[in-house]
Amino acid sequence: MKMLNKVALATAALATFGAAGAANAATATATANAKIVKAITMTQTQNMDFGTIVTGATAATAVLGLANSVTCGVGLTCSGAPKVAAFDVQGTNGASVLTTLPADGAVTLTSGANSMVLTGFTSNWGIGAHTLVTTIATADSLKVGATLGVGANQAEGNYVGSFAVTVNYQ
Amino acid sequence: MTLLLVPAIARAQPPCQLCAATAGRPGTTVPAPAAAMTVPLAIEIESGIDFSRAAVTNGGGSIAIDGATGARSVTGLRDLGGMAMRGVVRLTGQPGARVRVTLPNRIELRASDGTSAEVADLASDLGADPRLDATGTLVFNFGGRLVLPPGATGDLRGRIPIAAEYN
Repeated sequence: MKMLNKVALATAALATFGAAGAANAATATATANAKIVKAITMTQTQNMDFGTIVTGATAATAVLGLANSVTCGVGLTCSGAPKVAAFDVQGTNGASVLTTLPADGAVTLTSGANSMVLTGFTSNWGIGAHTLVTTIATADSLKVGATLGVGANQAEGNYVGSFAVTVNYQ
Repeated sequence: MTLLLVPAIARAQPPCQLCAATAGRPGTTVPAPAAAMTVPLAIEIESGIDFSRAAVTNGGGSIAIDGATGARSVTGLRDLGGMAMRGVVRLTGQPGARVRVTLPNRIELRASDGTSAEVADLASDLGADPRLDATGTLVFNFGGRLVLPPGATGDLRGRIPIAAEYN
């Protein structure tokens, strides 16, 4: 009887040791992520052009709209072929981008000693985020208009200037 | 009255197979387990590794995250910033126990369109002889290097199997 008891105890001890071994290891899975997009490229396809403006005795504005049209203020006469600035933008299709346009008064058109200021820059992509629509062969099109401040009896001349437009992934 | 002397008989005991030898007591020495692990080992992923955002130009490039410092470096790509993160793992178990941790040296990330890239040089900041502390806890970090072939873009995702055991 005593011998049988001793054998039973030995078996129980070995079973306990085996069960503890199963909890001596553990596994888990971690994640790895990255978001990779195409670098944005911009190619200018059209310069901004207000056309020909005949000035008046009072200051007024000429608004260049996104449909390549100018709305002439009181006292001004507008003609010619106005055009918005236009850019081809390439990047990752479906990505969200933000456009930065010049601030009011930051861009000046000059002709010799004379100048006029651009304000109210607008784009067809709006103020907030824009979703890029691109393919390998086709770029998205960004158009930019603005408002030209024409002084009273503004001196005649070919007024020119330049400005920067920035597009960044949001 | 008659006095009868009866000799005492000493019976020999068979050797005790489960007894450690002690003074004055015959037996066979059986080595006990060096450290009985009564607390199961558990592993918890506190953070995966996130290489954040970058833009490819014409060629490929890489993004590396240092497992020890969490520092991120970008090569050959345009860094778009964002919150990059090294991986963080928490082990819990027997206080003071030695552990062995295994993670693969490299894994593959894939985007939904099938684009793939490799994360190489996966490594932790564990020392040569890692142990759980007095509370039975060990937290370690890991990093790696994402290698992008030319033109590889997309939301790249992958899985890193991590194993730990008492050593």
